[in-house]
Amino acid sequence: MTKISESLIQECKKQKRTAMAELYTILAPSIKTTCYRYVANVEDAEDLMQESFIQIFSNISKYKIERNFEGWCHRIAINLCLKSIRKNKNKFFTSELEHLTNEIDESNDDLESIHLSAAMALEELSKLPTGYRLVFNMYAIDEMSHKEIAEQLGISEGTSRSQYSRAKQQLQQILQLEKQKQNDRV
Amino acid sequence: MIGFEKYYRDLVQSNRMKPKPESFDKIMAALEKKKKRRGGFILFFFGISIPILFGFYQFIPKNTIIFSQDKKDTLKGISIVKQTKNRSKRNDSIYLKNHKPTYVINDKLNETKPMNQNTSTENKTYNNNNINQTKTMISKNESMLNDLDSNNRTLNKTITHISTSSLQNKDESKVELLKITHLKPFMIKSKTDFLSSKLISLNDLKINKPNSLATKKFSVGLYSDLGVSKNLYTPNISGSETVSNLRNNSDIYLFNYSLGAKFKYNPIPWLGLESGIAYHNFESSQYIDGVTISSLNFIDSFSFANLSSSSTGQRINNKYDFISIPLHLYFQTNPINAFGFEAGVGVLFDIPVSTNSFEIKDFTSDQFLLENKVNNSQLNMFGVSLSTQLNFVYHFRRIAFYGGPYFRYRVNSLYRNEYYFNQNTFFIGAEIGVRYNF
Repeated sequence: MTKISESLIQECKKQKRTAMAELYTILAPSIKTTCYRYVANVEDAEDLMQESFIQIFSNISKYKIERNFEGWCHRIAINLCLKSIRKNKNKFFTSELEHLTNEIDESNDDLESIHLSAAMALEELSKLPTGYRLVFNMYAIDEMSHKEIAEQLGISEGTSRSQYSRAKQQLQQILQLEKQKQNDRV
Repeated sequence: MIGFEKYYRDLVQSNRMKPKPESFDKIMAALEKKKKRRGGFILFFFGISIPILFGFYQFIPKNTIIFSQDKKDTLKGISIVKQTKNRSKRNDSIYLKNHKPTYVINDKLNETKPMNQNTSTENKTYNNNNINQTKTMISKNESMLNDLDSNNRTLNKTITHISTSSLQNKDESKVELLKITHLKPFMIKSKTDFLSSKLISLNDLKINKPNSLATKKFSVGLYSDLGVSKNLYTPNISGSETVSNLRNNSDIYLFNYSLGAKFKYNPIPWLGLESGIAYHNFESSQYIDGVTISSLNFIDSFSFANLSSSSTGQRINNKYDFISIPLHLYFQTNPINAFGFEAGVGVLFDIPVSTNSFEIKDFTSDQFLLENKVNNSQLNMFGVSLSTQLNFVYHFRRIAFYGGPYFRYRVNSLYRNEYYFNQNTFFIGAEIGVRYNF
């Protein structure tokens, strides 16, 4: 990935169009992917990516140089995605999932050997129910704590953990199926 | 974090989804729009703040105190209903009320200048002849003032200006008066009674508030205004940046004028509510230079009555006619004096009735294909503008002439939201008018 230089950020703060275009070229693909991870819809991801850049360029003067710029941009995108999901869905956690107690078999440690493509990984993630997808994204991909997730989504930490376990279980099943297919081919 | 999470994270994060090619232009257009809107709102904010602050600090009576019925009783039939203080003129006035009628105790007796010029000489003579006989006396009224003092600290200053006086008339009859300094003079309605009365008491003082809007609550009038705005075009859909830029560069200023009738209601002297109806016109002269129009293609049926060609470019008049309904709230001076001020804030609604402009169909290339005439259906059917206005008013008997600057910011676009671009305006102009007070 191309590094975002401090001077580029400074130029963007001065609202220079060429600098803004350069920043956009660097960040747009990853921000769109982030948005897609959350909303699981290409059109919505495109709209949210645009909205994210509007926010980024509008607020770039507030960005403090000591923070990770890319992380700051992605956080803007994530917040917008969560806001959009909240707006469109009153409740994304089904009640039966709240009582989930199944524990995951953590012994599936050879899953890394499966040749799952990046696109496929993203696609499988998008198939998860909204609640699972959000928690999995926030915890596993964006490395937020369950406490943070609970605060962001307005749920308990326990619910966040259970949603995550279920999401992980579902993804592991997909990976195992994939592994089985690969073994059959061999 | 265990292996699974890392494995999956690396897989997912290695994805790069390609954005749509037009996305960056859309972002830039949205930013531009946001910036222009912000500018408009800042202008409007200052526009609206100045008249409101002006209104609150200059026009609205300060220290208004309304006493309860109980309070009136303690004042032995004489109650102070309202105290006003006009800081700018250093005038205080106290309205005394003994049920009916309402009494207003006049200014320093030796400086009385009645508004009604006809009474001026008589009053002056009267005062000159008698003022030396005025004796300040400590009377039952002092207890009233003490009572006020103990109940309301804001009266402290005024109390120092009040004393009870006894005034002897030519025929040696006594007049008991409350003397209040720095009081704005009022016209004495029954001056003859006042002067010839053998015994003038507070109850006999009938004071009229001349020219007061309080007694003239309704007015109707005619008005006209003129204004100019810079056009603010912003693209609305993907690819419309070219059209938007073309309009921004070639259709820079928009002029407006209105002719209409207004109705004003003054529930209280310092506040007025105004509405009306007017013919409202927007007009701009758009010049498209020769380079751009070299690729213009008009369809055969398309023509403008006022379209003129030249070797260097095309000039097209864009004209929009509206029926306009203003709704304004005015802070105003009570027109005891001939001259007054009004500071207004409000909303102006525009309903389009006739439109003469053009529509560009092909804007994806350098070809600007002017295909259709814009009609009313492409405009917002209900335009909303925020408006601030400052009027200088001259009262002559029942007629008031007024004029002053205004600022209007159109909140919604002239065109519908689905149209290729938004067109916002902020008009700066002046209005003049005449009102008849009923």
